[in-house]
Amino acid sequence: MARDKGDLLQGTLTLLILKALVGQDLHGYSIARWIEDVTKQALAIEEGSLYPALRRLEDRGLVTSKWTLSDTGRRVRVYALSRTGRAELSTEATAWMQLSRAVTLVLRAEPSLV
Amino acid sequence: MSERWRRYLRFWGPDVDGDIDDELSYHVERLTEFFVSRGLSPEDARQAAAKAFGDVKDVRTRLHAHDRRKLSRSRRQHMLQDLAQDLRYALRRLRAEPRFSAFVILVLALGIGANTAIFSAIDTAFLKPLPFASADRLVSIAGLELPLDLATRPKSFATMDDFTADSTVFAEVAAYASGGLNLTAGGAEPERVKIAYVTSRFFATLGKQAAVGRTPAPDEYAKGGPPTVVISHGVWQREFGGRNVVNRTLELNGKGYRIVGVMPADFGFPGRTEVWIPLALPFGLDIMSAFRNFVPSVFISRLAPAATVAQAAQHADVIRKRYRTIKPGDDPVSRLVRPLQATLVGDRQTSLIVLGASAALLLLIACANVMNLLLSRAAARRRELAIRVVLGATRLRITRQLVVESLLLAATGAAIAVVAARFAVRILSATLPPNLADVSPPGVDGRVLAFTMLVALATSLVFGVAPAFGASRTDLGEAMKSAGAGGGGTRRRAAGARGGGALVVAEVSLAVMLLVGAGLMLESLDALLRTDSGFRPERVVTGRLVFSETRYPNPAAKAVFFTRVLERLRATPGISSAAAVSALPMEGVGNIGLRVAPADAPEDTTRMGLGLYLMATPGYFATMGVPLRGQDLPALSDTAHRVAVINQSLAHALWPDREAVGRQLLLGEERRTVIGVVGDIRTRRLDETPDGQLYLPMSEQPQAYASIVAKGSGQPPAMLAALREAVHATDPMEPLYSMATMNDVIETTVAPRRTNTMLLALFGSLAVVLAAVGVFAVLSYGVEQRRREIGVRVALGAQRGDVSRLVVRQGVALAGVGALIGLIAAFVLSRFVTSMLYAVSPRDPLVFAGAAALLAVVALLATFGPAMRATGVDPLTTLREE
Repeated sequence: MARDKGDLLQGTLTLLILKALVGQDLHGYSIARWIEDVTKQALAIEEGSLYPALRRLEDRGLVTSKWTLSDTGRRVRVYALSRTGRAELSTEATAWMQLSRAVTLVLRAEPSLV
Repeated sequence: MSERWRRYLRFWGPDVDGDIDDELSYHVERLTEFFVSRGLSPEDARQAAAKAFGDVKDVRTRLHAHDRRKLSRSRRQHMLQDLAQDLRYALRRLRAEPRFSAFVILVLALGIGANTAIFSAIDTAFLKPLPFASADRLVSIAGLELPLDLATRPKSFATMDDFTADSTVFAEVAAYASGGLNLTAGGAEPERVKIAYVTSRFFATLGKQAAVGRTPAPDEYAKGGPPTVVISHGVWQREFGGRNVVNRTLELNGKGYRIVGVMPADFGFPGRTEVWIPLALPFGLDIMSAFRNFVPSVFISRLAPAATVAQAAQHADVIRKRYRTIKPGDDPVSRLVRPLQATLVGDRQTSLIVLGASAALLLLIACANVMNLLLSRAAARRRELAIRVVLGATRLRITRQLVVESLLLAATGAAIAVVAARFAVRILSATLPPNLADVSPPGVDGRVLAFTMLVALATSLVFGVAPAFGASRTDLGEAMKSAGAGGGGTRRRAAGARGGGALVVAEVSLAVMLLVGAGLMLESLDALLRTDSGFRPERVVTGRLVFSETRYPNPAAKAVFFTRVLERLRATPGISSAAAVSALPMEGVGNIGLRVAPADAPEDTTRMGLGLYLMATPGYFATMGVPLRGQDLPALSDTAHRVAVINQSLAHALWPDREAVGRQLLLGEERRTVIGVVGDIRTRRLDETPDGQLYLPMSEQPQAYASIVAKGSGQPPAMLAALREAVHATDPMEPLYSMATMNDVIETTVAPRRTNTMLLALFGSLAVVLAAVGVFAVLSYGVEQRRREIGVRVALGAQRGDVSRLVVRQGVALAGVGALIGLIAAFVLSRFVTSMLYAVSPRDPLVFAGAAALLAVVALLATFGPAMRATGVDPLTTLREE
């Protein structure tokens, strides 16, 4: 289990949650699983921290939530991406990729480490 | 917590805790299952899940705080939205009936405005602390006297040292004496200023510092210390233009004083003092030029933190008993030490309370009136409300809607009231004792505004809630069914009429009470104004002057001055006579009583009298129109004869059965011949019985203080100008002040009572008008409700007279019951106003009968409109309406 690879940056967690909700409405547990699966367990998050992050996103109007019944008949709270959330995701993602490319370029510069 | 219980909770709103638990526990459970599916034992899986999730408790706390905040925010928002909606709706409704709304708002503005204005006066008098630090610790002490330098008489009064000896009761003790001096600054003409001699702890007792410079230092209060003064902000601005004045010199009555400080702009205690002069104790006679005859010393103290006023009074009593035995006429212990504020309020307490109670009664009447109007309108609104209920409005919502309407009415009324009160307060200042109004002037401040808001709120609850509840209990079916038929069911109609009737009875009875109060006060004022003052104030003008001791050091110089001024005056066209006197009647000064005995029986205690001692020039009695039997006082140049003129009261006391003129009286050791007897003059106030008066020739000892009176055929302004000119031409450096007609002087003493009376009369008239409106409204409503019954009666042959009699009888019955209750209540309560009355019994039958009669007439007038409308009922139309 590679679950403690250090803290995630605050903005990163936001980005991950928004990305997880693209095209699907999920409850908190599924968001955690989705992130774990997609990152091949390379990124580990403390799953409890999802919830305060979700509340913040909801306050900013980036996600919406509603209570529904799960397949097993449990009350679950399901989160969905809002229109503004989608816009936010694309801006943030672009910024992130630019930063990431820039950092990659720096790291590949001679003498290269990679 | 069971699911069902939670669902129940959610019915009342979001269940924050339950939701968080649901969400988090679901996650942890799924995580545990996930680990089990990976092959962990249930126990290990639980541990792994807990680890992967992190601190559950921490997350829960954070979510909880967040969700709670959010929930209350949204609730507030909802409430505001609803309120805004209610307000918009209420505004629309009020605009839809502009006349009704305007009338209700006016009635409320009157009621609330009267209370706001009176409250500002009451607040100043009783509630608001004086503008001093810890003002509740400040007291006044009675029965003390300032030590005189050359006092040879037995010491029978305690001194301040006795009080400061024990600092556990009186932390600070100080004295002040208010007077007036002529101020000269930079060669200009002198100006009369209010001064106060103050003892060394005066500023410390009040806890006040100078705004510029400092208050006097201890050595400046010492005998022979450097003469210094502290000036008011006003003098600083007026005389020195606000420039640096510390260490400059101020001249008072020709003597130079060094200015050491300027007090803050809001400080003028006592009264409106402009210059404070340190007083060295024991004081010498040199300070007397600021006063008339005696030093009006007042003693104040700051109590020690633990001491109560009652303890302080006990302590003062102990001190007092060291000096003399207490006789029956002395101050009771409770009056020895009193809160400073109470001392300043003095005898105006009762009148303020009565005014406050009257204003409250007026507001009650206004409330009853508005309630009546709303109730009668509620019937008309029943259908509208029923529709709203059908459309899903809850009872709570409708009640709230109606309460918001009431609040809006009251708030609009209150807003108008506050604006009006700002003006009214100026008039009201006259009801406050001047020495309090000067220290802490009444005004519409935050406290008054808060009071107004409270009153408006309470008012709207009183008049609004009952109709609101009544309306919200609307029976749907009945309302919808009967809406077309122009009225509610019979049962409700009876209940509504009873409620309206009870309100009218209450209104009328309250109005009668106010009328009786106003009537008693009016009778008193009338009696007072008809009181014979003993002199003829018409066409008499007066001005006061004070000699500076340095410029007029001896009696001869003063006599010359008076002679010249009076000669100039008598030579002026339009002035027939002029004279000088040491103290004018009605000015409240010169109340020094001298013991006088008849020379033929000096030991006869039954024939002794107290004579108020006055000095006058010849012609004084003629100028003032006081009848004189015998001779007038001798001329100013004549100082040879020991004579006196006495008034009738004193003459009667000394020689009950013989002619006083020509007899001799004893003034202490001195023998004087009575050359004349004059009529009694009310010396202090119109409502005080005259004392013995003893007039001595001004020539013997011309006073530093004197008033000049002149009578003539000219107009008052011209005569006043002549008066000023005569003094100015004689000596331009002697200012004449307090110039007024004698009628104005009397009016000043009557003014507080006049204001009180006018206010009560105003309240009474408003109450009558409101009561009449109440009668009108209830009868009109009754006629409207009984159209069908009236129609049937007319159809069965009732005449117009029968129908109108029906209405009038109901109105007269309501007014009659109300008036009876009001008269009984007034009879019981009137003894509380006894102290405010003059020459009128608190149960004066004429006033009671007058109040009842006035109300009866007004109520009868109020029945005409509805009666006319009732006779106009057409049986055909009404019956067809059914």
